[in-house]
Amino acid sequence: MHAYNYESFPLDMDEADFSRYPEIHHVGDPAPDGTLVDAADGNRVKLFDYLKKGPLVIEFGSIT
Amino acid sequence: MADRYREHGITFVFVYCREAHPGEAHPHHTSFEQKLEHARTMVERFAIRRPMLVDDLDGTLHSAYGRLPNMCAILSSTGKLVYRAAWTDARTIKLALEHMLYERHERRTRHRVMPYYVEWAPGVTKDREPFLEGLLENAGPRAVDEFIAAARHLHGEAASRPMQTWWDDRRK
Repeated sequence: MHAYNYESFPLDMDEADFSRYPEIHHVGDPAPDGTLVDAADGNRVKLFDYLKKGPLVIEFGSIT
Repeated sequence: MADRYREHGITFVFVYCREAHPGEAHPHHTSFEQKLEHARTMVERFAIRRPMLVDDLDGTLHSAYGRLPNMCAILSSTGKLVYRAAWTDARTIKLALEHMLYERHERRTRHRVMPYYVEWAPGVTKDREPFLEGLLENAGPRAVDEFIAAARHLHGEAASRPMQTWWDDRRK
């Protein structure tokens, strides 16, 4: 298992996480909620705060 | 796409995670402040108008959803997973959202909607050169070296050779 914030892209990165992904959740399951920080103002928010108007599309990523 | 679906009450957010390909320009995170700064740089560089939400330094939410670098999830208004994908692809997200709107219409017109199970593994175009150019610009040359090395490790010398050739030419 690599450190979460790895310093260099691991050679076997894709194998480990991509093979695990299908079994973690399934559609119909309750989605995980969590606390995040809004980059616009630095305030802490809950992900589920964004469900107030309806469905939510979440994209995960980074600049690299 | 976020603008198109806002009128239907659908919200889009971006969750900022670890650096998938840390490099000279944006190295791995060692503090939350650094992670927040990277997220703000991304908002500015790509003119992102969706809420940019930054996960904690340990990636708690990212890990809870599967810890892939560019995954996507769609939640129902009651907080259930209705779509999850190992890769963010606008075409399949649009299909899923259009189907959600169709179901909503059917229910509102008093038609019974019965869920059914489906598995699907759609493909996405691998535009290697634009990807590597983006990696070079946003991460740095070390990240390009590491990506090609990982591709060689996973898929073999022949599969990685076009990328290595491109990179050798690019550096001349």
